[in-house]
Amino acid sequence: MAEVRAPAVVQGRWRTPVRVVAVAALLVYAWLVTDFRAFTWPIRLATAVPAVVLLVLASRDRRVRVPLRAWFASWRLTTTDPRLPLWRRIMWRVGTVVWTLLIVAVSAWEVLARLHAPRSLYPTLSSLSDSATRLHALRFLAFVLWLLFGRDLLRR
Amino acid sequence: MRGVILAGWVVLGLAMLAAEVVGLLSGGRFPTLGDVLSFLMRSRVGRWFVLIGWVWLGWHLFVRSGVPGF
Repeated sequence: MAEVRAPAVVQGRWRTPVRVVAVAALLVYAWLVTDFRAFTWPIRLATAVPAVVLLVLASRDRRVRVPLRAWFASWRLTTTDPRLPLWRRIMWRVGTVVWTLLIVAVSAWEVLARLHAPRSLYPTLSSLSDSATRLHALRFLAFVLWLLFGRDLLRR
Repeated sequence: MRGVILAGWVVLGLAMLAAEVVGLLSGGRFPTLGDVLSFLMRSRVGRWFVLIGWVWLGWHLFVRSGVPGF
């Protein structure tokens, strides 16, 4: 199997001045974008731009990915690295189950709250985040963190 | 009812934080959320699943959230 390597564009192999300008431009973009009102076309377009860029970059990533069946098989204890002790392999898989259950629980709680009204009695994640991101600076920070998270995902 | 829902969010948040801390302190024996995402993204389907999830998160946070005209 070919070695999995991140594309150069996301490995930070840019010349420093270019990188500084790119980061500054991104910060300015994030600041301007987070001043737009929710539920309007400007914020829709401004959020869609980085999303489309990331998806295009991801589609151009030629790193070899494991087929779904092989991926699932790699999760099973019988087909993992035999050099690792059994208890360690079990521990790791228990961890993946724990994380899956936590994500399912968060999703279920969100759905439960969303199916009820009023929102003041049944707060969802988004209604909770509304109050936190009412300040422009916090919305800006959240947008930058979202972009960084996307960049991190591209490298995986 | 608000108290129950809020308590649920706090418990879930603390549980995720605890799992992340355990993962960070375990030296690779217990996965962090990042490890789980990396494992999920080893497959093509899983990778696109996570990336679409990222798009949804941004859309949900910045386009669909917030008081209109705040």
